[in-house]
Amino acid sequence: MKLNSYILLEFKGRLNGPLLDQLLASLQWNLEETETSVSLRKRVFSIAMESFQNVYRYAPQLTHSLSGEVNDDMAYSEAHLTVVYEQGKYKVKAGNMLLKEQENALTKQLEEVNHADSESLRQRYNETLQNYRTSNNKGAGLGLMDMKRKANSPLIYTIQPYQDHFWFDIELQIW
Amino acid sequence: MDTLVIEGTQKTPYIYLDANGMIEIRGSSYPENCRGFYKPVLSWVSEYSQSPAQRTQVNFYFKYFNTSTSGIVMDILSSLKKCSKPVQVTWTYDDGDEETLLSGQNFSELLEMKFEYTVK
Repeated sequence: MKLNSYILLEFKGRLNGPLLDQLLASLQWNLEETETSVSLRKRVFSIAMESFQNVYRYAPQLTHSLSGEVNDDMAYSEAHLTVVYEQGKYKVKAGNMLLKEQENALTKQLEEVNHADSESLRQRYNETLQNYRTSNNKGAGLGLMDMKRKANSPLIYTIQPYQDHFWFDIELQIW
Repeated sequence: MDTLVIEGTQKTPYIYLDANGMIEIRGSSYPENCRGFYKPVLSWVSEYSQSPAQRTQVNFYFKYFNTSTSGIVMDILSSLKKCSKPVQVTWTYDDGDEETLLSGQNFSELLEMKFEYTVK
């Protein structure tokens, strides 16, 4: 039976490394169960992997337990990760907390990627890739560029006030 | 030089580095700390390229890989490009996986190295 819409993955809560691995493993397995073409499946997985790893890499690591105790071994990030199929499109969504001081740089990167046409994006991607060795800033937006190149949509995002900081949501559509 | 073998996991590839001229990386590659994971590989390759075998065969076959891995592939191949002996790169991809084929072609173009392509 072919369904018109389904959820491949939905997670809201405290994310850490091992949990992310499990979520990606389950996503990979679920995608392979669908009738989707190899190419589409790989693009969906790549985008999910890149955006979820960005959450893990950039979201502030929190170390206090729910009871308020601090435990460095249990660092986690608050995250909201989703992969759904709706009306012929896959939607990959990732949400995480963003520190005030991260907001400017991220907005600038997102806007630059969204404003670049496919040829200039290709050039920027290749320049960044060639300078990858010398750059120490975790890839300098390579992930965002790759996501936009593999998706059919721009980087759809919102940044809203959250506690004393911001909450960042990003969505990519793939078909 | 010792042979370096790293068994694959769900998110890290099987790696086989043999100083007789065989370099192979296959599987998925998306460790969170890519540079840390590939550090021994990069050191091995950099040492190997100083005194390579008569011929070097390099096989890449990725199922899923992240952008950090792309940076590592550039590093590995840049090192191997310095070899004084011939280096043959074979890029294998899953049937229908255009993205991986295109990535291979892009690496080949950026590094000005000729790749051979095979479909699995």
